[in-house]
Amino acid sequence: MALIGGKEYPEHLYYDLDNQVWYEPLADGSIRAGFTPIAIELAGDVLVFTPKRVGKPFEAQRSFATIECGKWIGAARAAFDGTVVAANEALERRPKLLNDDAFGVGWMLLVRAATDAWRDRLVTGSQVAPAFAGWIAAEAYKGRTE
Amino acid sequence: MIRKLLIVLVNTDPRNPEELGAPFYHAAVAAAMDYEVDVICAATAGKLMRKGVAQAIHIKPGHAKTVYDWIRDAHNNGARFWACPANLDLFDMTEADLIPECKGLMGAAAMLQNIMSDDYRVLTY
Repeated sequence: MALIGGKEYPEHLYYDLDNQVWYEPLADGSIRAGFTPIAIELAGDVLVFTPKRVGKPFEAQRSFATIECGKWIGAARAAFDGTVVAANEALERRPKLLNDDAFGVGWMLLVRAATDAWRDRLVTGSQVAPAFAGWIAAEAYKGRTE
Repeated sequence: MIRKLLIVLVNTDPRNPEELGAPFYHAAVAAAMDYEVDVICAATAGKLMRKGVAQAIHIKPGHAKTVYDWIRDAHNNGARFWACPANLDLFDMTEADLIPECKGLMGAAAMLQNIMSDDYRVLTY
């Protein structure tokens, strides 16, 4: 685990720092995706979670879900091309799960990547802590919320 | 599939702040969903494109977020804002008076062309 902002970030996950989305490859070849706790902390209380519809394709850097929050309205942007396989229905019913448990019951989507190279530009393992430290130091998040 | 949304503020009056939440909120969400969003502020709503006006209006009294913050949210998500050329004369403005989020002027003909085209869906407020 990497300790970031007082929260434990699992090192087996793959992180897209630009979009603050994590990915977890599953045994069946699908990939679970969710927002990082730091992204949700910046966004505020999540009021609505709207995933892209199941079966719809998405492109890298384009929206595959939308969240409406107290402080911020914005998109979860994908790190790679793919297709939405499923959405977290519990999160649609109770968006605050994202605030409560972003790595657990607050996951957002199951997706399939268009290519096997989906994780090439993502951060994982021992790279997680220094990468997040650099992201925080660069204040890259300011453009998202100001 | 239609990807473009034109939001027309023509009946919205800045003197009633409660009217100002929905159009910009919808613009912010639609842009976050990667729809191409154009927002034109015409008639009395055109005042909102003038520097300082939206900054001074709070949708909810006592709430920190101003109408300008909502405009910036939508703009940050990719929505484009347009002023009405007729408003410049009506409100004694020049293009230099417009907020930086305003991309420029959308004339009535351009707006109507978009409305009548098959490329756009239109929401009016």
